[in-house]
Amino acid sequence: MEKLMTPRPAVIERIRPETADTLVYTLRFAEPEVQQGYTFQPGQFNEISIFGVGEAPISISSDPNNRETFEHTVRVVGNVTRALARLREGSHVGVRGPYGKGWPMERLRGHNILLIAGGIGLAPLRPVIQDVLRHADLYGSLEILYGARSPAELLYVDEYDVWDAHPQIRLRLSVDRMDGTAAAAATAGGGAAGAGASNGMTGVGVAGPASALAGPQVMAERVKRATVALERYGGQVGPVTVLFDQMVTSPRGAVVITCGPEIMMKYVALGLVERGWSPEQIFVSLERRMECGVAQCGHCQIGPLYVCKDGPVFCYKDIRYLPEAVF
Amino acid sequence: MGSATRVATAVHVADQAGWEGLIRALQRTHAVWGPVQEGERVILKEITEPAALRVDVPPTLLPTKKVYRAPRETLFQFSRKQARAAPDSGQREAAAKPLALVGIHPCDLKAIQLLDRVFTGFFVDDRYSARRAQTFIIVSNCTTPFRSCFCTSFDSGPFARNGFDLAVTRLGDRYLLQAGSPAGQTFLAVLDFPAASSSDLAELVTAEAGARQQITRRIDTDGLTRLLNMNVDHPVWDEVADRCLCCGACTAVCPTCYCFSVRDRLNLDLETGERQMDWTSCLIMEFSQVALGHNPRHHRVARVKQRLYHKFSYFNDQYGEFGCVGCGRCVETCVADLDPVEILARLR
Repeated sequence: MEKLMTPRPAVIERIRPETADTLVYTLRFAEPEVQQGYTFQPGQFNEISIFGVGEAPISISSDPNNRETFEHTVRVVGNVTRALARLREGSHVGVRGPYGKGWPMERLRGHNILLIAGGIGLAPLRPVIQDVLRHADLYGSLEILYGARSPAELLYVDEYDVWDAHPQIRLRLSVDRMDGTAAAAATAGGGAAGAGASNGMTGVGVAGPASALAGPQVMAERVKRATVALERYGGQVGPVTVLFDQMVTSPRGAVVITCGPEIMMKYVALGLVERGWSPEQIFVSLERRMECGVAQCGHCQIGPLYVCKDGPVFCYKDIRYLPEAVF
Repeated sequence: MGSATRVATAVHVADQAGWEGLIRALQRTHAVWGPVQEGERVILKEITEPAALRVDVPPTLLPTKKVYRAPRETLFQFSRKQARAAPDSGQREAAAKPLALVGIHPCDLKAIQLLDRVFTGFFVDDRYSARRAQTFIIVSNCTTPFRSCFCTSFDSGPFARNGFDLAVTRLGDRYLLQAGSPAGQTFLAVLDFPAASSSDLAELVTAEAGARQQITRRIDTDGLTRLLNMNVDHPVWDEVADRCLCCGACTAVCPTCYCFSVRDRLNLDLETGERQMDWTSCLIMEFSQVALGHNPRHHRVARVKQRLYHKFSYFNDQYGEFGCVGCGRCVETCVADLDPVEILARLR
């Protein structure tokens, strides 16, 4: 087990604040031969270690064709991610992986793709978008429906124009509510009480005083750009399923890949089935507690499935009737 | 190490002195572990005095998983400043004598075979497989079953069929010995015990049949997985959940429960520490909880079902056999007197 579960050191090459509680880390394994031997499939995850704090499974959010570095988009939600947010560029973390079964890339190739994401759920789908950008000839069209709680929480705002400008890609956005104004974001960022208080902490933001999270000015700027993006890309207020009426991808010969809160994926799947999609065309990515990543610790099981080994990506047809999935 | 198929070999007979001599011989090359009576309990532990090892006692409090995957194990040492993991436990391990498990019950042997699938089936745990590969196993066939046993339901007893190096059956003051692997055969040949008489052999057959007959507790496995899948909302689950304290005692003593948690323990210098794995239990609330507090098994009934469905349905899908061996430990241990034999009978 020590061989299976011993992380390799990786250097944080770059930290980019993404939202008030989310950071993008560019990592490279410290040992060149480890980095050279490392490849992953879109939808797979790594176990990230902060020694002395613990380990967390986090999906890989970068271009699978890039063999030099890899990225994780990390929302500060627990001990490990909070400790991660206090690190600086040049710091080391432990990484092992990749684990799990990612998106059905063989199946996606040659087909039209409908990509539906909610919040941080866009992170494990971004490698697919990047592969489409790089190998467009291998794919049909890619329609992205992306929803977040507020404009301030939309991820990858600065990449939308590149995505949508691609002739095969169409992007549509939604937010649950429009309250992520620049002013609100300013208090939610690195310093003041906003987001920190809502995460059960006081006064110091979600990751503590020394985090690399975006400060108020950065966030205010970001929200301005997010608001522009919303207008540009058909912005609707409501759950991501409000975008179904604008959807242009037809079920015939297409594949759906979706990731977000389980309740969102449930209504996405139900809504699509209602519109004539078959459960066999829909792929979802599930979140479960994972401690080992190698189907031995037992935590991530749903019925007979190990989410770490058999998933996290599953075909909707295979899990819709499992007693413990919300589907 | 036990081979997959039984080698047809002659049965030999040892008296008490011969049996103790056998254990002594094994101790020269192996760390011998076996059941020892301590007060009212039977403990699986390393034997120093061969006479202390008992082959006619109820199942050990903790099963053999404790030697293959101890309740707490160190994965590696780390230093925070260097952010490096340094595995070193392998060297300690290599210096130790190989393990001999003597007097384990056939149900526990079956449990080892099931855990082999878990720990070496999809991903290979090196430490586990190294420990397994070097283990010499003497299984003790049960001639007198114990009150909670139901091994015949899962074909895991009262006599072992395969997976051992030697099988011992105690008949009065005689120990009948039979090799089940080439290693066992070699070991037995050196000891040069006399061959069993035809009346010994006849007694062996009678003893197995007698033991089988005494095991009246039974889980009907015919269509069990389907039955469970059709009864996800059966009222019995709420009744079980009302009684179950979710203390995790049953999972601790279960020979096939394998779940563990991973945690970092810092030394007092707050700089160095160890990453460890601890046994845990799917009955514990936090077991499935994810970041931000969401928990797919928040309710006790979900956790109670998880444990039993895993044993009697999911394990089958994952590893091709039921995940229960009928040792009865959970029944003996449960403070709420819950018994899978009774619970599953309610579904019929």
